[in-house]
Amino acid sequence: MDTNVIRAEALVKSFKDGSGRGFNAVDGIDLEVGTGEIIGLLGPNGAGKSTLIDMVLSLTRPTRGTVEVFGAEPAQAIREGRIGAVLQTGGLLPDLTVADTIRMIAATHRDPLPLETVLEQADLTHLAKRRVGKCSGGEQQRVRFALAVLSNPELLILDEPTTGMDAGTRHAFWDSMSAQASEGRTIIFATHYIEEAQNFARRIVMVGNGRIVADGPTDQVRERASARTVSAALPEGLDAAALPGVLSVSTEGGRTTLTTGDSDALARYLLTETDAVDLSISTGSLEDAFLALTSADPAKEQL
Amino acid sequence: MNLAVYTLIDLRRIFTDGAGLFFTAGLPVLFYLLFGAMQSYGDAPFGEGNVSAYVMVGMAVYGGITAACATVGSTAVEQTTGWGRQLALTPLSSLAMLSSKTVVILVRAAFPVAAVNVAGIFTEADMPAGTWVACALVTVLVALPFGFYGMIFGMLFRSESAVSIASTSVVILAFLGNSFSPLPEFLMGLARFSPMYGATSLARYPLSDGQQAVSDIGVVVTDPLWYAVLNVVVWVVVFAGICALLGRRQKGRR
Repeated sequence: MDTNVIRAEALVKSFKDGSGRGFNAVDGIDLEVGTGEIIGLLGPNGAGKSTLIDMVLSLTRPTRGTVEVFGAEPAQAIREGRIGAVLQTGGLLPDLTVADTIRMIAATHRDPLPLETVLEQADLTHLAKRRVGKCSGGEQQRVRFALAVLSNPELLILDEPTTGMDAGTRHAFWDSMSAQASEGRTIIFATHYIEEAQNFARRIVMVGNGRIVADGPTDQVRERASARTVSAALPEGLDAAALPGVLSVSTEGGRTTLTTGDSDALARYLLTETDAVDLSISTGSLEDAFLALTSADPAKEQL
Repeated sequence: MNLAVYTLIDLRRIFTDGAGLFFTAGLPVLFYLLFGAMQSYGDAPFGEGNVSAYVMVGMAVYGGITAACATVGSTAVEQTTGWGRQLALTPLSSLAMLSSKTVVILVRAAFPVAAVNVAGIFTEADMPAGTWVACALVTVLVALPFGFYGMIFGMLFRSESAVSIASTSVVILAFLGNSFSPLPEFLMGLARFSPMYGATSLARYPLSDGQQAVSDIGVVVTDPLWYAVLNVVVWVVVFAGICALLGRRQKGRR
């Protein structure tokens, strides 16, 4: 059975920098994406997220390796209107109206959604006659989103879709994305808002220095990469660093916070063998995982 | 897929730039009035018509080519805004995009050509109606390759300067191509290789049968038709080729 939406194998893309030396923006990525997955693509700026997306969209040719979308060349999926994409910035003509922009792109598709439907989906009906150049950043992003869903695509790729949106717009945007996802679309979005990935993605792919540093279900990536913390009010004179399994210690006010690989064992020890009180256990955030994974990479070596 | 709608909306972008449209048509009309209709030799016979008609066609060619060349601006905008990338994500094929662009370039070029020819009708210019129509149609057609010429500058220099570089170079090419004031005879050897020589000679051919006005008193040069045809064909290939090469590397992110 072949239900792969995207299959990338040993994908490499090199660029020449200013001095003519080559470097690999994408440096050997293997990735398989199945139907209906919702994937958050995380990584710091320059990690290779956008280059990876460009190759999946056939905007850039891989230097080495292969990438297939729906079992064929990405360009074919584009021709068939099976991929919709929201580009990071730009991609709009400022002197066209919102409605004309959508009409013009719709005219390139074989069987586009009706204009009214798209305007409504993207909450643009009241802006239809406004020039794109006069729209706010968040409104322009909704226009890009409208263009991406025009062909009713099976795969939706969003490159940092909420950049420039305020908190309210961002919230509304993810609500509309949930609606898209519930229709069974495969969605991949690149972001550096970790919270968005944590809330919306079911699978996280973390990229650093052109390679995948973590790939798995959102909860798993978070847990695997980050130690848990146990915090409690410890009795005077107890040497916290000497407790079993403790990785680091920090004290603030009357509370001591301990990070550990095995929170159960540490909590049991504290409650049974010491006079520690007011104990709480928490899982690290995805942000911790993100920092741990991407900073562990030998980023500076290549410079 | 509806290429007509796509092209119509693209065309609408031209008309939002009313001032630009007015000036690309206004300058060649003014040139024609000054250097054709108002000159004492304006009603002297030339070919199948008179000198004013000869000057008029030259100015119309200049106007049409300047308008076609306005692709430099729209190409630069498409590059800097990323609209080109947006289009690359649609099923629109290169061939469809090219035919749509062709229509847009021809419509753009038709405006100044029409303006100059209308000015000619109301002034000194004179030639048989059939010749007139043929000259005007050819004038619009020969502007087409300069749409690609403009795109080259738009892709190479993605800045404000692209527009002024392209439009200034058209003026130089117009002098070189013997489209404006007649060149001295010895310069014609060079002129025949310049891109606007072919366009201008072809547009004037129904009127002039190949005669070229030169500035040496009492001399008229007659060039065979194939000079003009070969010139146009070669420059079409050169401009379109460079365009295709540049277009291929344009989709990537900047």
